[in-house]
Amino acid sequence: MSLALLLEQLLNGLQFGLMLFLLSVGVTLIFGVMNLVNISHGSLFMLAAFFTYSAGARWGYGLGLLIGLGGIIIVAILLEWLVIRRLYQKSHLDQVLGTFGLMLIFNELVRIIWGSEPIFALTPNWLSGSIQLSENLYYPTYRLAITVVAILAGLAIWLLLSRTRIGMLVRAGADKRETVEALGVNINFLFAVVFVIGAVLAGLAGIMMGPLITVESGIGDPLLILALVVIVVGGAGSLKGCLAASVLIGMIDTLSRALVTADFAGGAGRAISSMSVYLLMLVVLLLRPQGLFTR
Amino acid sequence: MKLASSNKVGLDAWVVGLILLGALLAVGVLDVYQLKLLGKVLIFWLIALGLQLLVAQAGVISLGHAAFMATGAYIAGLFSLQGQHDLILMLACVAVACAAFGSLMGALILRTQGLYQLMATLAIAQMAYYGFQSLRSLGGDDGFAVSNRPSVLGLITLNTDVKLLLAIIVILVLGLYVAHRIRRSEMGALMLAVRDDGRRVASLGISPYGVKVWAFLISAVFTGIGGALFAQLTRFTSPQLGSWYMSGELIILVLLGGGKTRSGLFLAAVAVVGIQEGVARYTDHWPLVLGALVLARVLWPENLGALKKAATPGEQGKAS
Amino acid sequence: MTHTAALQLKGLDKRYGALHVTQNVSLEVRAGEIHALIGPNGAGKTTLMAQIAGQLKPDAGQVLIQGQDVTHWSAQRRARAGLARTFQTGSVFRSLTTHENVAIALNAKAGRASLWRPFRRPETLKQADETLQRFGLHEEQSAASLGYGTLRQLELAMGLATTPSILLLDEPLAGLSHTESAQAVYLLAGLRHSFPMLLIEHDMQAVFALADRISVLVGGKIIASGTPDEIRASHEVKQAYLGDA
Repeated sequence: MSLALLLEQLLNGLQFGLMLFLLSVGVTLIFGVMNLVNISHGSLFMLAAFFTYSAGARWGYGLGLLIGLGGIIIVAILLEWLVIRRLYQKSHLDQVLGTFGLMLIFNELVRIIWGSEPIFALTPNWLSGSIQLSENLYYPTYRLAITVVAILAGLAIWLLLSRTRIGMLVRAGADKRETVEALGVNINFLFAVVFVIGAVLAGLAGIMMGPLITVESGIGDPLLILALVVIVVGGAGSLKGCLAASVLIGMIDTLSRALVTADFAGGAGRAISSMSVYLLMLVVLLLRPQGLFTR
Repeated sequence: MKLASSNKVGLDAWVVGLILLGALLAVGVLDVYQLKLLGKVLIFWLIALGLQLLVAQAGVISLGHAAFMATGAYIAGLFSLQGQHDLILMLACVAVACAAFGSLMGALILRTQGLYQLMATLAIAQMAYYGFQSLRSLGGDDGFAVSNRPSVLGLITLNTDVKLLLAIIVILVLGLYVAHRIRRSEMGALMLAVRDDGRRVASLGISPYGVKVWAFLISAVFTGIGGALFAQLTRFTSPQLGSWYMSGELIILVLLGGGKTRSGLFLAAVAVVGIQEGVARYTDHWPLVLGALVLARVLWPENLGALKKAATPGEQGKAS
Repeated sequence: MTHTAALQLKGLDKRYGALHVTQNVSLEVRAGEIHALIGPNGAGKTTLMAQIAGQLKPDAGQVLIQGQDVTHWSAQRRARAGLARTFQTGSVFRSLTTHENVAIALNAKAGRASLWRPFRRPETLKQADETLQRFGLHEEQSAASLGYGTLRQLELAMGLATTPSILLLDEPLAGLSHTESAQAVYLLAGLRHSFPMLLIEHDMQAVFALADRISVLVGGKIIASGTPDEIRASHEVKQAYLGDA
């Protein structure tokens, strides 16, 4: 494999890792603050993509983006208020099963509204084409753009959590619910805010990934599983761990698919590349259950 | 779940007897499509019996049991590819394979607790799924047809659905008996004790870890046999049988069925299959109904009893 | 007559970072005696108990049961070697009945964990009944429905059912009423010669009534050890408790 190709795959891995990060941050925040496991988080990823690209096909990319983000915010608010709120006090099993049910519902709703065929996700003209990074390497502009956006989003979240009052409340709420409530803060509002933030990040990832994948029912779910793997590997509740683990897993997933050809090890190559991420998670669980990147 | 004989347990035994009798009679009357439905219900009931042991009695939640179902199905498929094969030999193979796979998987994931345990079961299941998917000689992602029905000791070939259904009923009765014995056994009592307080069990000299691995192993065998029968019934196997969707359906079985009675599990099996097939007649979108049902059950629980107890956050801190 | 102590602690030491929670603790519980461990809150009694029981590994030192070094053994292995304990929180199996609880202990001792043999065998239940008779608990009922005092009795019955070589009692009188406490003290006194005991307790009346010897743990260290009279007269002990007040 040539150097240019390797570099390209590394960049792809980084970019996928960052998308995964956007998804995982939401999951880990929600788990850290509200102690909630949300299997339907991937559905938010999916819905945002559907909102954006079906609207975008009709009314242009700009409007599509607005509808996508706005739509996901509305869905998140409603979802949290009507359903998620009732799950906070329940056991993790109940949460897993309940949100599993939600996931089934969302997947079918998408099929009902948009059909079982994937929809087309356009790349806006001003982002198509590629940029020359080196003598042999031309990297798609779009991928670079979304990488940048993901980094910015990550920075924004970090700033939000560490520098703002809301961020302080979020971090405090994770540890001492009663203290935060005693401060006069409406804990319900706080939880809703966290949920919506997580949803927006997931939605953003969905919108950005749209043109790179097939936009159909259920696309968010395998990513959700990967996000859970990220949390195990990176350590729950650790933002830096989340970032590091996301990039690591993004790299492993992308590179193993690219480097390990299907014929390797007599057909098992494909299986090994798919399994590599889970093998990593198992190893971490058994040897260092608190996560690779926690103190 | 009190082990002491109570009226509820006695009543349950009667109901189970009635259900089995009803099934036997129904076999003579139903058409091909309905027979397949009944078969699926009975198979899910069998799997649920094993899962109930794991979840409600030992308090372990697994999101990866579909892997065993797929294992059983693929083994049945492999036997079928040989042409004429023996049912008992095939099931014995499934039992051994799933016992081995189950104890390995159990030994690994039971080193973790709570949410991480859930994740570990999911991870292993995903790996199994990808493993089956990669078997290109066996159809890869598409699976393959399991066309040959087994014979019993070379005497009766189960080439009609009626005969297969009767065999399934026989196996189910055996399964009910085995599950019953295990529940009331010394190990069964240990499972309850471990679910209550693993640390206390350790202080008496028994490893709670070992007890849970046994529960895992047994449930894996039940699920594997169910998978093998499923493949023979539907004459098909594919990696989808090992997907986490399927694992979710299996856990839903136990969730809907509650923790205490076997007839409850039967009703759950009816519900799950019923929704899949029944709703599917009117609309493709049966997962919507299933999802709504599960959500409703979680939000407004009536009688989750032992299941809830098994999964309360307090249990996650206890020694394994 | 053997002179091997039922339980021996030799120089147990444990640190949690800068916190020296167990400092070179040595202790002995001889056959036929009740040895009480007292000390102010925060002295490290629970940590010490955990190291004896096998839930915590000490940084240094040894734990010996009847001369056998069990320092690196797991909790369950020590239990099989003859160590029985009760817990501060009074732990029994609530899903089972009183007799079933004791039966579990009996089965554990005998290594009976069959997948096939019925749990409620007449022989096992009869044996359980005999043990429970001692406590006046011969009516079988669900463990979940027991009052706290009765629950602790059941817990003790479970511990005794395994005919231990050494019995660890972690605040067995905590949460009991006056009458229940008196009953428990009477019961334990009666068991003195059958089962050597290490008793952690705050109830001084009970301690002085029961103990053959007392060790005082303050700040992770044994500051005094001797007969009740010696302890009562000890200057250091008085200081430790008064200084704490």
